[in-house]
Amino acid sequence: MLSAKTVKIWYVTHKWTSLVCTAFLLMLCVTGLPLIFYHELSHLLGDEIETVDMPPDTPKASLDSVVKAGLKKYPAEFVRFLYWDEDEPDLVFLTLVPALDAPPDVFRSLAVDARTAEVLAEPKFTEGVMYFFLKLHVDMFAGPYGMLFLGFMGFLFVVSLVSGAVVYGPFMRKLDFGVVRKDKTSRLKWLDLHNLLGIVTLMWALVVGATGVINTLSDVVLRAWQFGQLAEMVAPYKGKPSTENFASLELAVQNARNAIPDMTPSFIAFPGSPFSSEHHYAVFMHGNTRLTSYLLKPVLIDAGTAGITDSRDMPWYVATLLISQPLHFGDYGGMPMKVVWAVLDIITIVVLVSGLYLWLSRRKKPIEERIAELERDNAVSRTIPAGGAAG
Amino acid sequence: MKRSKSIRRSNFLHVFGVPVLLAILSAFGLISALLGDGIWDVLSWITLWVPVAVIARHVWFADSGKDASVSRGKGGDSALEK
Repeated sequence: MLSAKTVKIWYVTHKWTSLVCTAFLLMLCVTGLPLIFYHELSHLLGDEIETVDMPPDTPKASLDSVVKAGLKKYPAEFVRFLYWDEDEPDLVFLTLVPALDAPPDVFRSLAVDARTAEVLAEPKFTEGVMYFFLKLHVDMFAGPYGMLFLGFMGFLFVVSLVSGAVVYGPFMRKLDFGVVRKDKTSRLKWLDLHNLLGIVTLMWALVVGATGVINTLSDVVLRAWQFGQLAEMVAPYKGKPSTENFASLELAVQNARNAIPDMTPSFIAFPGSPFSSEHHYAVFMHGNTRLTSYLLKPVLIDAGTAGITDSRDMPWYVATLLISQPLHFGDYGGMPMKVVWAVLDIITIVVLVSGLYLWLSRRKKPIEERIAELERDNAVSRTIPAGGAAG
Repeated sequence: MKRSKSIRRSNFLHVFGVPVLLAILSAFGLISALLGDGIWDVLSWITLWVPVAVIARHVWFADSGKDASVSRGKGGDSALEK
């Protein structure tokens, strides 16, 4: 058993880490709730892109004509990315930028019919109520620093979960698991609920909290990859003049597919974009099994010859980031998982609010008194003998 | 010495037995849907719903019978609780 002094340290840790992060965690839980159903809600809000019905075996248009169609619409712009969405097999998306070195938030998206290479829509991913929730959740409209700040709040949340689990021990020593003393004081009832809800959802909250923190490091992680592995792979092209005559993109992607037949292209970074070089199409492949579909493997294709320059597995820190994403979003197990994610999210809100209530309702008493009081309260309704382990 | 150790262990199990079991189930549920589709998804749904079911059981169903004797004296409230 922990000594009284150790318990006090953990208790103070739990109190302060919780107090500092609670307001932000509440915001994250509330904005996170609609984000769990992002896909469904954006369809409901009318963002669905209509495609004409065609036989399922209709051949796909060449990617060169997809790019051409996009640039025909905006001749002065550049393609930064081309990507596929697994939920929309009939569509290919293009990200267009006014200049190759445009800031990351200056871009437009085009949805192109994968079979006819016709530009169907210009989806506004940076407008509307879902974008508002997303931005609040990701960085509170405060850019990279907002994101890192929320990462720090998430870190405090994880510490408060761990310290909360530690102090759960001494508080529950004389109580049965799951006891909710409904007919005592309101404070006691909420203390029991706070303990029960918190300890039961602990693992989920730890995983979603920790993966959320990892996601806030995405800029740092991708930058490390860019200046590490990517720079190494394109090093032989250093100093060469920019590619003037581009080879066929369709051929480049075909070569990438042939090089890694058990993977599928997920997105392509175009020459001059941050995830490529001036001389390459970077075709990012992902696996075809559930787990490997989250992992990416870049194939760097010489943009002038469509020949393969290099292809390597992503380093561990990028793989960690990529695996953290589904674990945070809860989008990898169908609708039943999304619903349980939402329920657990609401339970976390109750834990946060009850924690705040417990602090507000007793903040004037010294900690020693509060711990003694809790032990006294618990002793009244104790269900097993304390044994010789006290203190 | 031996005796106090076993009391400690039983105390730990008494407090953390169910939470540790639930944590293992949750961890399994979080990982299994990542590993595959079909049965792996179903196992994930079941194990992730267990903590929610445990909460529901203790918050709404467990105490009403046990506490009936205590709350009976308060009149109308206890009838509402059931």
